[in-house]
Amino acid sequence: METCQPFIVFLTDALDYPAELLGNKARNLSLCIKEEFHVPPGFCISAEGYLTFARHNDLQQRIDLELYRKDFSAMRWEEIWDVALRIRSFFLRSILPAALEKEIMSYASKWPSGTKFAVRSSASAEDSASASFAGIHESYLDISPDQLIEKVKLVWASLWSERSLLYREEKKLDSRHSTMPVLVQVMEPGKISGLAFSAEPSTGREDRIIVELISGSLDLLVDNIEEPERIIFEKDSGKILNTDSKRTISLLSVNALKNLRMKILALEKIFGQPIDIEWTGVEEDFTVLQVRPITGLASDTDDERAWYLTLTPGKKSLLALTEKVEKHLIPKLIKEVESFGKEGPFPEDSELFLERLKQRGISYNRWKKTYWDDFIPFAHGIRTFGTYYNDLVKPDDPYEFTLLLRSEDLLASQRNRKLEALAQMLVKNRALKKKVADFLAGENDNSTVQFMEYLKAETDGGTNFVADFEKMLTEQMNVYYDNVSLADDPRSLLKTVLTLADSTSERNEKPENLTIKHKLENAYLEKAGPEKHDEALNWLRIGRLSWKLRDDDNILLGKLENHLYLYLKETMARLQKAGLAEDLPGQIELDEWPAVLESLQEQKKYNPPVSKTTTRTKKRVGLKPRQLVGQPSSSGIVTGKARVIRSLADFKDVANGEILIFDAVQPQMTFIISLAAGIIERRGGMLVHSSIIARELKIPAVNGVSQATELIETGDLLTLDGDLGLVVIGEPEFNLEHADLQRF
Amino acid sequence: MNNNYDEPAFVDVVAGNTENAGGQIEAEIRALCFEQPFAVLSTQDGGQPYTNLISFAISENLDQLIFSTPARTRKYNLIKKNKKVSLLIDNRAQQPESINLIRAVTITGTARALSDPKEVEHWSDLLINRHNYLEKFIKSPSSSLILIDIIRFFYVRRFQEVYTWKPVNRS
Repeated sequence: METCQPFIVFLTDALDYPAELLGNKARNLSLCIKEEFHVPPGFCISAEGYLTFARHNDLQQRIDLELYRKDFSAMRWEEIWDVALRIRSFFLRSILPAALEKEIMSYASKWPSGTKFAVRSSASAEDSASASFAGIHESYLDISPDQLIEKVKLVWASLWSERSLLYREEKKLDSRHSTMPVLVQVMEPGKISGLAFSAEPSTGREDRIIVELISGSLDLLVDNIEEPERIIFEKDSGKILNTDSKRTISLLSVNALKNLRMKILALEKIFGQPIDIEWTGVEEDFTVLQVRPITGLASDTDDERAWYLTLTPGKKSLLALTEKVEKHLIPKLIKEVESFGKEGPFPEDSELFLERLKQRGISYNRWKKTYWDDFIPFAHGIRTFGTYYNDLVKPDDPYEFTLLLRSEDLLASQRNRKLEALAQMLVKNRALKKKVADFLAGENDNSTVQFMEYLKAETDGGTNFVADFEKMLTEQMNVYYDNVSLADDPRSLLKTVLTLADSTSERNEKPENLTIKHKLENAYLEKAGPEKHDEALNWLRIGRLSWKLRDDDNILLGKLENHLYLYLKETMARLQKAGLAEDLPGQIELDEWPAVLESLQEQKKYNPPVSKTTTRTKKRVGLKPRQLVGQPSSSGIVTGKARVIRSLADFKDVANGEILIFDAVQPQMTFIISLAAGIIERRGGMLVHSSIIARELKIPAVNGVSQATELIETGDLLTLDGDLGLVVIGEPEFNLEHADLQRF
Repeated sequence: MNNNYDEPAFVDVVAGNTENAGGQIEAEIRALCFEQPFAVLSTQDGGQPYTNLISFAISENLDQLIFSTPARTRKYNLIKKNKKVSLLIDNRAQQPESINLIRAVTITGTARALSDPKEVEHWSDLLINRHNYLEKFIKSPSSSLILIDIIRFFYVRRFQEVYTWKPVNRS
């Protein structure tokens, strides 16, 4: 044996062992016990315990395979979250070595039955001088002994959570050799709990003490559920500088406050530097829950909370956000889109025209902000549900929960069904279809509008088709995307309809999906049992809503933007007529609206911004990708010709059975996916729009392929493996070198 | 394609930087070939493959590779019969912990024994420079220098990412 380190150590003895084995959190508490502060009794599962568990289940190799299959810096946040979910699932489904499990349970049984425990991380790198890891790892409260092992596994797994991975990346800490000691302590909830800082973190002032307190247990404060009372002391004199003006009566008496300050000072003296304390109970009940040196004084403020923490609202704030998004924001957005639509043609009166342009511009700015502030964090509902589902069901496939999310009434699905119905009209009417095909194949200059008039007049069934096609344009394609309106190019849409009509493959949602969905839903609720039935149902509802709105919001915003786009286009036309603008641009950037408005208002020349054309670099001579790696986002293997989609203009060239390569697929344009035999996307994630659609339609897909649209060229023969996340470029079998050998 | 709304990314990879990607791959192949002293050589006869460990050196522009072998060896005779060879160079010895950190390059090419004194002098200098402890072995009259003209590199990293690359003067 290379080591005879203990698996478990009583908290009282933790000071005798190095921080690498038990973590700083355990050692700091042990020091408090030695100095005769009260700390909830308990024990610490050492790094050796973690490593033994990891070795027993080959976890390090599994983590390695997941985490380093791509360059970490090339992974998007969502991909990192996916990696973390898979790793978490490995941990949940792994088994502790019998000796380790027995030892943990034997330690826990040293307290009377009915005792509840707190299970917290004490990771080796935590609470060190340079990195606090505050709020990064998981902790669980009120845990009964029968839940203990599972919660220990989850705390271990949180060493590999997306926030932990990103935090270590930010702090340049080594992920590969991280370990996770775990603290198990008896729950001792006090009547009053709080945080204390023996220096002011936001300013770095060391002559102050800050105390935040609430009535009840500390998690209500840490999770931002309750607003704390906040008190600032002058450190030396104890003079209270500032109390919460909102409160008329303090939670603590003057004496209790005085006593609390003395305790904080005594603790600071022990640690020899400013500290941050989590505590519960006052005076003789004062209990230290956690104490650590304050890191990064004057830089650790809430304002600089890492952006990745804002993406994962806690359960309580997610519930509030659900209410806000569902009941207020989405109905308001729909109403706004509708009211713009009802305003009719552009007013001749220039003042009224300018007023309407401005309204649309302001609305666009406001909703863009809402998208980032509320819609994006709300999308986390899908993940919160997924994690809840995995904890409850422990499925083989950590993405099984996505099968429960599908919803027929997505705006994108409604649009796709209407498009399919148009294609069916062509399938059933061969004469009509032939005319459409001839028109699209022809070089004639007839506009689509003229052709539609001709169809109406000359073809049986033409009137109905044209009416539905025009409805499609005005009601479904009135969406701004890629700096144009989807309705701008009816010819391309007609081509898509014809290609759909030519396709023999089944594109409708597979009926077995519905059966699977019902089966899974029943199994899920059964697992929850009567006690958790309502809770489980609620998370499922939030998961579904989150998924639906995440897809719908893009389309709704696209429609809102379209209203601004149409006014901008008209403004440009008016400016040009007045000689105040050059040629009409093919594309319009919405953020230009204030400048365009000003030009028209003041009748001055409009100068468009220099367009930011992205130059594509030439392929390097001699280098060819043979096999690229991405995320396996939809199962299945397919071989076909590549079609790289760089702009909406590429849509008209898409033929049935091609493998489409996108930079990023958005709900505004997912209708084209029905034609694909496979999908490759640069943007990665198991929950991005294309992944879910591909899984519903059973189209193999790989995403997260770095530089996909650059390394692959239209016409390349591809084999896409949606189970392993691989893209093979070139013939599946190839003769090694015969051609080259002729040289010698 | 432009879209106003996209989920945030940690570091979103900027599309369009093939130049760097290409340069990076070439640099990685070069590093591997110059850092690793040994390679696995594969020869064949009548459909039977045969492998050996060899000490090698590679030319600056990565188009030729040299090693030395006594003329009575099996590999020497196999090359005489069939000049098509393959080589594997990898860093697995330095990366025992992670399959994702192992880099490997498979080289295809044709081999021939050198006899021209000028060529022998040039290539034995290169090989001795790389493996000077083998000087006696390389200069021994019973040893022969084998030069491989490289056709292509198949470079693998992160377990499953594969690129093919040809030295610049190969077309």
